[in-house]
Amino acid sequence: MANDRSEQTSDEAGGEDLSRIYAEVSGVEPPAGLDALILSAARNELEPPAPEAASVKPGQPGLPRAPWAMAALVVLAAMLYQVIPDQQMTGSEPIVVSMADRQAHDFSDLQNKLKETPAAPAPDASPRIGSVSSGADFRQERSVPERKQTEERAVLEAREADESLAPEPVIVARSTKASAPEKSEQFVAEAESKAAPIASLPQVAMVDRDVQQAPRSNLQRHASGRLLENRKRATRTTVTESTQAYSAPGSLAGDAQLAAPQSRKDDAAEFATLADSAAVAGARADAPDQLAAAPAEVAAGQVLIFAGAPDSGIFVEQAGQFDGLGVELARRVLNQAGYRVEFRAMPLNEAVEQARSGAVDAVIGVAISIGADRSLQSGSEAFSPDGLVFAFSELRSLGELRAHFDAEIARMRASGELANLQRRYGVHSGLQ
Amino acid sequence: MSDETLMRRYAEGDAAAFEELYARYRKSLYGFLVRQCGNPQTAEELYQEIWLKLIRSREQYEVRASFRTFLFRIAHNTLIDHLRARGRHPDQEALEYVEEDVDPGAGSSAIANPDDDLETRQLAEHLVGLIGALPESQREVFLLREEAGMAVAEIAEVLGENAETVKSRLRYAWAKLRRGLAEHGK
Repeated sequence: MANDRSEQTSDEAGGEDLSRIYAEVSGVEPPAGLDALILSAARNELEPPAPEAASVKPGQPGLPRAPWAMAALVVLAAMLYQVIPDQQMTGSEPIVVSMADRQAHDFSDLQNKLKETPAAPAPDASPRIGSVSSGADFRQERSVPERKQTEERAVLEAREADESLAPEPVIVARSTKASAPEKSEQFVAEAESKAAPIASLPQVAMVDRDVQQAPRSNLQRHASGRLLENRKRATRTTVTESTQAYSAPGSLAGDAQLAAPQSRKDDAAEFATLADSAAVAGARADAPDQLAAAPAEVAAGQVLIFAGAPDSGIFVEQAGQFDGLGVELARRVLNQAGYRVEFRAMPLNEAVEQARSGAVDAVIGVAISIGADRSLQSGSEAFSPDGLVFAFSELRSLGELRAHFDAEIARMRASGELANLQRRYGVHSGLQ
Repeated sequence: MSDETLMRRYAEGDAAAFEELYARYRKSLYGFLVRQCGNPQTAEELYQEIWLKLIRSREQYEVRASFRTFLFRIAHNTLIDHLRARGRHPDQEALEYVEEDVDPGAGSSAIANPDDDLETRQLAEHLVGLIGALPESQREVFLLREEAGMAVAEIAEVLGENAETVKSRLRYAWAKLRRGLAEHGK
């Protein structure tokens, strides 16, 4: 295998000391059984379909195949139904039969099964491939020997007769995921738990969420991690001081408390949207009193200053040039809304302090809530498992701008542009 | 024989070509996955899944990019799918803090000349822990460089990123690892 690092340019050199140390622990080898399994699969893929069954002599009419195929399907389906516990039958998504479930990497059994199983057509781009021949394992573990032979013959006949009817031996159709009704209940429960934290959020505009899938984006984790770090630092800095200037002028508690019961009338997905977006940004848009109370309106054409801490994929500064998902989104929305934007890179603590003082208008890539002790905390748990957040300084009224953010982000989400940007910057959030 | 030729021959039905190709990449791919997942069992599942995807896509393979890029791009996408399917593990999130002031060379003097093999080995074992604590994106570029032996341009191709982003991630990773090793040596 060629090593292209020999072609590296001077500005990417510099990791030699680490490479030398890492070499001590590199070159971990896969288990031999796994090698054999993959090589077998590679060979099997190339083998032509198995010949006709030898039991049928030339000149004699063969047994009808379709009934055999149907019989095999029925037998296997009945076996699976008996074998799989009820709670695992509630979903339909195939999952991996974990190798971890197989004690001590007992690959010899798998290899034996591979040998027993004739060259079967490989499943197409299936969701997950099990530990090969898990179906065979079921047969072995769940049936009596004489039935086993008959059933395997039936399966073989079924494959030969009609590939489309043949069961896929490597996938076990079961799922540990919750069913749809269970998910709905989870969403309501999650949203109820979010209601109180939402009440303490500062003004934020939030984009990019997908509560149903519930993975958390890199960004969210970055924000969470940074703010956790901030909390640690708070004991020796002024970060834990009063957040009055940074929090919304007027309590959002009323909006948030109204939001939760309203959303319960909707389905779970709508509730999730309300909980993680509208209840935060939208509720404020519906609160003109709060916005009117803000001291300084920002007119279109003015320069807004967005600050961020250097962060891969979200806020990247390179020789005075800014890039990243947060930067790109801010540029698009602000330019479209007629604002000009200036970016500044600084440590996160400083960005937050400057947002408090009004020296910058927003901080990119943070989720902040105000704890009961008035300390800054990661807001990620408060309202979104998967969101990109811009925290705005409350010293300037940006209500209209927030509406632009929401509208533009909704448009980008619908058109797929948002997902493309996420891919481009490596900020994955499970949107697709 | 080049990787690309071997892959083409495998697509045409030469099983031995695949065996040769597999032998070339088994360690680098497995090492990449083990360090990236931090869990050998998950790594084994993904490793198997990646190779099976490759096997099944053999007829679609075209020599547009290097085979290595092709293979590790499958690995990258499979990892993303895996992470999405399981959600983000909370204990990883606190580790995603990115320092503000990055000096890629910081701490390098402390690790430049370990005294003996034992010390190098100890540093290496500590390094593995530090790699596991890196943010995913930084860990990935570091491992693609170290395990797959890729240059920045090729890593960028695998990840679908621009080269500057990859360099930036790499520098952050180096700085953190050096700082961690230097602190370990104190």
